[in-house]
Amino acid sequence: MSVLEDRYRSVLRLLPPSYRAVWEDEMVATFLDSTRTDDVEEAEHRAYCGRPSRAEVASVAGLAVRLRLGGVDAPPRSFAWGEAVRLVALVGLLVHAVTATMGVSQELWIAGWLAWPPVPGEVLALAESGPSGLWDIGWSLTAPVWVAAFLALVLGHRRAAKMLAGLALAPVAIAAMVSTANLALGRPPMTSLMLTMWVDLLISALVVLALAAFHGDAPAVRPRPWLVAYAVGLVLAPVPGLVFLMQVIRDLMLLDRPGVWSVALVAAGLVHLGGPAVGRVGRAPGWSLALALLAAPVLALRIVSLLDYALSDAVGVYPVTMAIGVVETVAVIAVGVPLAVLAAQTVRGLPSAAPSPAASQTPAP
Amino acid sequence: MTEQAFFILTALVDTPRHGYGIVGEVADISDGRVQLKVGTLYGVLDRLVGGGLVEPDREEVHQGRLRRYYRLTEQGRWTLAAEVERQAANARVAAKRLRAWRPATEGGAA
Repeated sequence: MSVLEDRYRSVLRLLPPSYRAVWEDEMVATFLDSTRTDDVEEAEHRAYCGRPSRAEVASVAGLAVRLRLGGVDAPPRSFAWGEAVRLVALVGLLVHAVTATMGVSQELWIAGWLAWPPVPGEVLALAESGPSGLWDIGWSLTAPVWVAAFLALVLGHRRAAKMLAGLALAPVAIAAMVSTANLALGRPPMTSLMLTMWVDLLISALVVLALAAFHGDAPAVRPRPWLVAYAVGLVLAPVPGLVFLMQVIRDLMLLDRPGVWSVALVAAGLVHLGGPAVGRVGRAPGWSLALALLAAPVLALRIVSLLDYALSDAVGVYPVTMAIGVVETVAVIAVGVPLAVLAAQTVRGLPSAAPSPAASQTPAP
Repeated sequence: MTEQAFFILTALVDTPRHGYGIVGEVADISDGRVQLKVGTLYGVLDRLVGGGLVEPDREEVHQGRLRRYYRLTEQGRWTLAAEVERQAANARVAAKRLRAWRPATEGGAA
């Protein structure tokens, strides 16, 4: 086996085993045919030094996404994984859209663009004290783009949604890198919560990557429930928003952003786990898996933000803040573990990828 | 029907072909515009086989490697013919409108 073939077979490991069992040898033969040349020296060079081109790797990666995160005609297990990742992407963009809308509204409110309710003097004083960092400016610029990405996805404009989400992520990523570089160079960092910032960025990047599950075979998104969820989010979001403001004014943090996500995840998990027990709703396999997948980043954000509090001099952090954070961590684990067990049982119970019809058909003589 | 599926079906109209043969034929009939990568080819091919439009014809061993040939089924031929008719009808409508179009400065419909 040449090095080139070995490398191409490594790329093919992205594909599900059941698919490889049917197609791998044929794909390898076709690939090696496509690299053939009459020049003996060049052929030898390609065989022992060549690599599959980026375009070839990308085509295999695209096929792997379509097969592993299945669409409407996929086997049930692949479809459940596809639905779960699509739900994670939708929930992620929904959270970004609600947060962005509330953030922009809050900025307009403090700037005096909204007539009601009047801005308390303490809030104005806080807004005027200390310049906005690059992180805040980056966030402000990208905020409306997250809303546009969410609406584009929900209304069926998938390609636009992917481009907009990528666009929204870029300035935040740049701001995070600049902030880290500042810290490394001994300049004042733009935020004292560096670990939290990077985990935030990583989670956003994963949400953008999850959009790959919206490929050509993915079923259409039903817009109504997601638009209702966005509206409900906007109605509920001022509650934690006001709590955050009061905490800053009082210099005592009891509920922070990771805390909100922890409470939301625990509530959603309990409803999902307990719903069928009280005979009210059935469980969709995609949701079991999606909630289990969502528990991981929420837990990571909760733990990392507590570490950041312990390592930095964040404003308003007291022992009670840390105690509440620990309770939230335990609650997320307590709900996340049964969700993961339920998701694993659900997925195991579903038929896995069936072999391609090509394998079941006998070639004609 | 995607453009790639259209060209793969077209490449199989006259004779059964193996994977690399399809790649070369598609490049030829599209004047080099559609260059199928292997992952893309087999992504489309397994769907066409699953949909009954294409079926395996025979297998050969060439230089120690498997070559599986594929041929168009009757259903594949009808489907391609229907797609050709649809695209031709679309092209006729567009061509008719383009012929009728005159810039506003020449007094035609703009």
